[in-house]
Amino acid sequence: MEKILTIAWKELYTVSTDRVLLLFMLGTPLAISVIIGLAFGSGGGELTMGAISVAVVNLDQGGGEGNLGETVASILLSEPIASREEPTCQLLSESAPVETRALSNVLNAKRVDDPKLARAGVDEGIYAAAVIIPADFSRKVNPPRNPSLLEQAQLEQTQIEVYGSGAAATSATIVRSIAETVIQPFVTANAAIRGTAQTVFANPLNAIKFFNADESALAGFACAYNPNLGNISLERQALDDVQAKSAFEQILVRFGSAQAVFFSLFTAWTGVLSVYRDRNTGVLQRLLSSPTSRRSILAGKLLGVQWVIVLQILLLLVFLSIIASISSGSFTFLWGNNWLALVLLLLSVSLAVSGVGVFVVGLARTPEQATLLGTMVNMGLALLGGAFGFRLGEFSKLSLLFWGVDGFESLSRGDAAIGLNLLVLLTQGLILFSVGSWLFSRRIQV
Amino acid sequence: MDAMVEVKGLGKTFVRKDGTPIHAVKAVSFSIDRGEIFSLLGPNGAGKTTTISMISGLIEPSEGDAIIGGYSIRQQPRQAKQLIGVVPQEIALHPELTARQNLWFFGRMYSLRGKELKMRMDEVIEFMDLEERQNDRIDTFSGGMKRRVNIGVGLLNRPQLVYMDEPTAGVDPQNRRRILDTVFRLRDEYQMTVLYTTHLMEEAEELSDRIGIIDYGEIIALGTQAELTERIGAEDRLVIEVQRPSDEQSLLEALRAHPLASKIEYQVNNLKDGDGGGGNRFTPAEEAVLTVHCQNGRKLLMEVLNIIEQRVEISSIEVRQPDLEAVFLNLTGRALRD
Repeated sequence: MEKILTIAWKELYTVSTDRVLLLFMLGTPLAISVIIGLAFGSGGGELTMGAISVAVVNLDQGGGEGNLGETVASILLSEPIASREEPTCQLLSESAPVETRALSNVLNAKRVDDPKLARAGVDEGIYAAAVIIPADFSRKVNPPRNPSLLEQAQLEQTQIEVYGSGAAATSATIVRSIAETVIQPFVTANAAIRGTAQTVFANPLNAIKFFNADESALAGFACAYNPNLGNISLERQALDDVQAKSAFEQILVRFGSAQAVFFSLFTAWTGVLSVYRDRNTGVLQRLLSSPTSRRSILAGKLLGVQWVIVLQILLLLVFLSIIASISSGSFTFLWGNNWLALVLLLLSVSLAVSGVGVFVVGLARTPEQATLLGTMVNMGLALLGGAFGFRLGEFSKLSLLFWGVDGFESLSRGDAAIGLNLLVLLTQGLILFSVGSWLFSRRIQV
Repeated sequence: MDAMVEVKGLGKTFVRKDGTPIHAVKAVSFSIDRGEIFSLLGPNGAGKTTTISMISGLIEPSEGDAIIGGYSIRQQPRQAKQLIGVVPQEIALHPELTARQNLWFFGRMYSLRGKELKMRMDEVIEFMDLEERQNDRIDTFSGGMKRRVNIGVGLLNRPQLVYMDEPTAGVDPQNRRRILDTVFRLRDEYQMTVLYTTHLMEEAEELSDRIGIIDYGEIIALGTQAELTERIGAEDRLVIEVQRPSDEQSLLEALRAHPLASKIEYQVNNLKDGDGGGGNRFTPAEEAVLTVHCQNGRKLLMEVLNIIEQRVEISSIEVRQPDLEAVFLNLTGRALRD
């Protein structure tokens, strides 16, 4: 074991004293990440855009006099408001001040059926915000039209959720304001009706007249009457760790971690390839003529490469955090606070990366072949996995970069559910490492 | 004398992709005594490196075995390797490490550690005269310095057998002298056995207690230099350059008549380029070379000079004693460097 550690130490030491190599391993991915961050992250601001992209989800099941949720959604979507045969809620509809057509200039709203998809869209930067109207919206806002049931009606709070992105904090705020404006008439109407109702019920005679009145005469009240004023409110979602980050920081998280894994792939196969150099210089022969087994030499070499990769990715994650801290003016650790999960992910990514390196070198017959094959494999994995700024849908999952970057993003937003990422990376790493080691041990016969 | 190395029917057969076997080494057997400097000579492709690689445990023999200090390289490779120090022809060092770090690294491969490792490192650094540069990186060293570190690493484990593969290749005369002196010191001061390979006959002649000549995977001769020259019956040669005589036959007959001259060779340099430009215009030759074979060249020298001087002007004269080159030529029909 001491011999293995000695060989591994030598590998680590060699890399740590090679300034050019360090520049490539650390400086280049950092520079690329920062440049991309500054170019598309506005140096800490939010991504610039024209009309604000909004996802509108109407889950409202309706109730009372129709579907008020649909009315709100239509306003946000700049769609014509569906007319009802009996617009019993006259007060509400007449007082609605929103110029629905005007919103299309401000909002690029899209109807989405699934609230999870809408939230995910916000997380991925597709939407600046998602407005989610709950299923019980109409039922709670629009009490029964039959006055006799008013007293029995349960008056409950209901909330419209505006799920915003920290990367587009300004845009999300605008969406909230618009949503509040849309909702406000409902609140205003309720306030007016409640005042009237209080007056009516204050006098028992008026109350008797009220309950004896024609039901249709009360219809106008029915739609909006609710003693519990302000029962409609906007749910301001607390921003999670990722949402709270600026666009620059989010780019550092996604693009920076992708670059870290991408560049570590080069470290992997060039590190393993150094065995060929040792063979050409006679160092390998010298080692083999000492009382050191071939297996120990190979294990030491691969362990050294593994150490280098772990340190490379770790340092890049730290440096990215330092850059984010400098940018924000305060200490910012980009990778969440679940240290155990972070360490596990780091080790899993390193194993998968070195597995690819060993496999590539083991597969190639010559160092030249390994160089060509390694470059092609790395570029392919990077292209699939999103190191170039875009992902290729489900195909991305074929790349270890996807699983690595996805894991780092999850940890970054405080989500420790990276079990699948670890499983995929470890499985891939172990298989490639085992097969690659076997192939490689056959290639380094003296 | 006690044998340090016993090679018994050692052979290696490689198989081509088409299944054709290549017998690189054909069941060679020889032994090297303790404290002996043994040189293995052979042209490229003769099987020299393959033989040495099997002895030092680098490649697995197809047949036979080599016993190093009583340990079989096949059955007890760890113990056998512990006794061997290898000095490859290449500078088998990590160039990005210092001389001292290289010694530390390779020392660890021999399970040396702590004070013992430090002591051995200091010992080697002093022995190879590396004190001043011990903390400098190898890639800043001259060729000669690198060679010295290369040898030093091979001595770190205080081996009983040192295998040195052309350690003077590409080294200037001063460093070459230092390396050859080192080899003698290893034998004389540390009683180490040295297995030495070289292409330079004069090195083998100077260093070797015994010499093995290998060709086409077989040991074709083995013994001291005297034994080898005696074995081929090689004679001294008097090589005399003369102005071309007008009466060649008379001169040759006079020389052949001498009872101590066993053989006379006469070569006329009759194709001298006259225009100096590589053209086709030739002038008649003016020089010739006479080679007189005899048992004792020095004894015959004066008599031969008297015979020749009466007939023709002498340009130069040289007495050549039989050497390994002649032995090799005689045994293989080709020069060592062919």
